[in-house]
Amino acid sequence: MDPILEIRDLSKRFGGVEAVKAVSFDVPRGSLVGLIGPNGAGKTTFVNLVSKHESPDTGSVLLDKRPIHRLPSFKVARAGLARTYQKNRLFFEESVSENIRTAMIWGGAAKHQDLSYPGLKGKEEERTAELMEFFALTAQRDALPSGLSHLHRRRAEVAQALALAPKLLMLDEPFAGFSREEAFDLIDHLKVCQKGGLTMLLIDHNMEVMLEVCEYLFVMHHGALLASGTSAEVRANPEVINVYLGAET
Amino acid sequence: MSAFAQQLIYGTSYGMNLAVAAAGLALLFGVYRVINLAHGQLIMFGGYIAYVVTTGLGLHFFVGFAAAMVAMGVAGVILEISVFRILQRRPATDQLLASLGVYMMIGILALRIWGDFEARPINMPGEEGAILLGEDIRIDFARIVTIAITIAVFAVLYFVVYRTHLGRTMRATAQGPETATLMGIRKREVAALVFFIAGALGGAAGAMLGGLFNVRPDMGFQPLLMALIIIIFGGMGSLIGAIIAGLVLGILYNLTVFYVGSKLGDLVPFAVLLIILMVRPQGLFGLPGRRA
Amino acid sequence: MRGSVKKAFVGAAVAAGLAVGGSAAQAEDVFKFGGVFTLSGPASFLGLFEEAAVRLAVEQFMKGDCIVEAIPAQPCEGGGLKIGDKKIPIEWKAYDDVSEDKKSIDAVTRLVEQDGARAIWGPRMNSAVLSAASILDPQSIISICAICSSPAMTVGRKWGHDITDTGVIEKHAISKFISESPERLKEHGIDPKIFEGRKKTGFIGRNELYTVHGSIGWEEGLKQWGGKYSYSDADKVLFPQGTTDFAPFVAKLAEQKPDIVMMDSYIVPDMLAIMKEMKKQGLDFETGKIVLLGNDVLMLQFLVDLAKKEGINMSSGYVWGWQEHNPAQDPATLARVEKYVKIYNEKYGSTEVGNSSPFDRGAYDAAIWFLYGVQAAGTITDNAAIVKAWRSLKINGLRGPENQFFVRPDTGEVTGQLMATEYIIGVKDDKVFYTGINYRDDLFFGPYVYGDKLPK
Ligand SMILES: Nc1ncnc2c1ncn2[C@@H]1O[C@H](COP(=O)(O)OP(=O)(O)OP(=O)(O)O)[C@@H](O)[C@H]1O
Ligand SMILES: [Mg+2]
Repeated sequence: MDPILEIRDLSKRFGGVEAVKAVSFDVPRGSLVGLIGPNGAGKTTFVNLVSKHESPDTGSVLLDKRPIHRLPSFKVARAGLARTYQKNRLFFEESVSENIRTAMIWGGAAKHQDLSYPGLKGKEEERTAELMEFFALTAQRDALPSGLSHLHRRRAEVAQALALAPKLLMLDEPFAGFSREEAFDLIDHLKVCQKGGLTMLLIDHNMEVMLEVCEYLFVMHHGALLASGTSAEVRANPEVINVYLGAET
Repeated sequence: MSAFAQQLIYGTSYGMNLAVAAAGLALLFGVYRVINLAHGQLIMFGGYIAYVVTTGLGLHFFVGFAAAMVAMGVAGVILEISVFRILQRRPATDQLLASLGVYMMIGILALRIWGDFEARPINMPGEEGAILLGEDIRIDFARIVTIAITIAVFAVLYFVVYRTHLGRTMRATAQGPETATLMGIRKREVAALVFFIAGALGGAAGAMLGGLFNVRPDMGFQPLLMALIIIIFGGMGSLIGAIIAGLVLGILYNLTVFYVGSKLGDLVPFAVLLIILMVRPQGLFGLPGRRA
Repeated sequence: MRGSVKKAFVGAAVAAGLAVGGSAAQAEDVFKFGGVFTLSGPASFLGLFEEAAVRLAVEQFMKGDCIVEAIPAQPCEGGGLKIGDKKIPIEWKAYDDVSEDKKSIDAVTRLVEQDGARAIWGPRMNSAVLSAASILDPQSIISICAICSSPAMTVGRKWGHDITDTGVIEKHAISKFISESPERLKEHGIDPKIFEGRKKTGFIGRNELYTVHGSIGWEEGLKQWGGKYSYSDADKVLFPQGTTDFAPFVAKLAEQKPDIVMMDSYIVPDMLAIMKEMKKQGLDFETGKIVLLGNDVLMLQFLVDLAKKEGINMSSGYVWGWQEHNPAQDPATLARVEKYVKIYNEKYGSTEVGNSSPFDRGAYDAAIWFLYGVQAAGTITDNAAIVKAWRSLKINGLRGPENQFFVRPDTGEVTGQLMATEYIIGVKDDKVFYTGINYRDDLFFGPYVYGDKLPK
């Protein structure tokens, strides 16, 4: 296996809460993997630690063999790591196209690799246009985030993250509020990106979708990594059933 | 009628200067969330720089104007590094007080260098000349120069903020500092950039304000006060808002001085503030807007 | 206040392990005297030389070389104030108010309550004068200023001393000048045609108490001297501090179509700007469209030179003002001034205070005069006696001989207001000159010069 992301012993404590507890795992290059866990399991905190939105107490993170856990967050982004947020964080007074273009200023890590997902090639205008077309946002190019439907807004976020030309994209609950059809529509788009060589780490509560889509899953519970495996393996894991799947149904 | 038109002309040139002064403050507030009271003294000091270059060294006004902008831009960056960066995580009141302290220090510095007893005129083009409309409406060339410069400054500023990557990074930082860093934007560089532009705008305002007659150590106070009102009036961080509010305030000031009472001009900013707070607390232009 | 001063001294004595009885005697061994000046920040140019002059006066008094003489004569033997057969050293302490009212008042309070000062010099700012008075007067602390130029120093105040003219007295003088008969003008070589046919006057200045009083003095004076000219206090044009664009203010003045303009400003950049704009707006004193009147700063040679550099010609014969310092001094005064200037310049010439000007000389006169007064009173604790003794002295000072306090004609009481003389000055061939006309006794009238309370 050729891991693009190597997490070792990552921990973060907020006062009395151990939000992330000695988490270690690898994400294979070009894969679409999932991170699941009940509410408060520490998933978002984990993403924050990797993107350096927050600083880990201990542990290391290698992106493409390069340690990024000591870099400031802007350098992590420049190194090729993009993410989306659980809550919408588009620049609220910028149009869709401006939002997308802003990410291109410092992005571009993936260009030096042999990747080919949408929005990677050409001049900035072309890349922006391609991304909007890919996500069927062309009609919304001048709209502000507040004027977008939930679906369009989520697509714009992903488009913005892709505009950074990342090697790895982490999506924090991208399907929240989506119907099954809408979720699969987005997944189809993500699959296209995956074909273009993009690695993705997906976080979501929608188990049905996650188990169906992700090639490999990591399960977090109380900040620690509880289990990992293919969806069949995870589905069959008694611990997972106990703390999560069981409770869910 | 002609007296009225005359006051409109004076008010327009004054209002334009105020808009430039306010644009700097607005930008700082919009992007960096700080109210820099020392801005008033950058205006004043900019005036002195223009004086030194034009009257002292005998160079053209535009050289002095550019020098004032660059020097005050650099001063802004120094201020960012030495004061605001250190106080970044402190409450807004600390930053406000610190900027007030800087205000006083710069005031004392200027006084030490130039004193306040002698007049320090800036040689502005068209100082003496004027266009006469009919019998008694006079448009000084200097005022035309001022207005033209202001329009040019705003055009450049608009272009930079809304059409360039520099502007994009500034706007992104303003609207979501954390998201911006995850787009690879370095907050420190943006801060330095914004402080540079804001300082430069202060310097530009000072060179123009001082260009009409002369510069003096206490000339930064009224523009600072007006600029504060303008950014509240125009909507924090809005450029178009700054121009419109600047014009309104400049013209109102002149009309009040002329028609109501010379002493009452000072009350204009406060009256305007009171009205805004009652009628439209979010300012003229939308939300705490940062969009033109 | 006596209680608190005693407390402070007792406290110090106990700390030093001295007997309390001894400390009371010590309090009378030094004459404490303090000042509040603007020594930094805007307007420090006014505070620096005033403080320097008073400090020099104290030093010269201690050295026994007072330069100026009291009438009747007072000893100046050095070592301190000669009280009985004792020599009491003088202690001078000054605070900087950075031109802020609040700091002024804090400093006044500190001087009185902590430093035990018996007399306070300053503060200068008109707004602070009144607040200081409300602290000093109830405690019978002597209050002195040599550049305040404000009626608030003396009017209705038992302990206040204004050792210069006031904005009101000045206006009384210049309004008298323009109301002179053609004969009197001719006598002094001034063409009466300058003022012929002129009626309406206007008034412009910075918005501050000095000009507010000045405008009233202007209106009073014009009425007093025959009512040839019209003016109403309501028509004054006042611009705020820090104004950069004078056009609307001059427009307001021009709108009144004045024949004569009284420019009551002492801020050089403001004055030059106003003069420039006046020319542009048709209030032209170069062609005689109007007559421009100004104060002692307008009549500084330095200002005339500066104006000329900016293309303003003040030599048209239509620009007049005054000064408070005798331009044609007698040899005795000149000798005193020469000696003083040498000492002053040696001490301060290369510092930020700078060389001597007529302004610091007035402050020096005032300080020595006051110290003579304390000595004449024979006490350093009885302020009522000090005030009485001081006011009954005259001084042959640097400004001229026989400077004295103004005596109220209605009550015969000696006030704390200097009986200032105003010398009328003009400009010819780019040089200021003395017309030979001066005023004194006539100027002291009206409730702003003496009265029991400042009118509202
Ligand atoms: N900044 C913070 N300060 C204090 N506690 C925090 C902070 N961020 C997260 N936590 C706590 O850490 C734990 C993990 O939270 P986190 O948001 O990472 O969980 P999550 O798995 O993303 O949950 P959800 O599925 O609800 O999004 C929770 O107990 C949360 O309250
Ligand atoms: Mg979460």
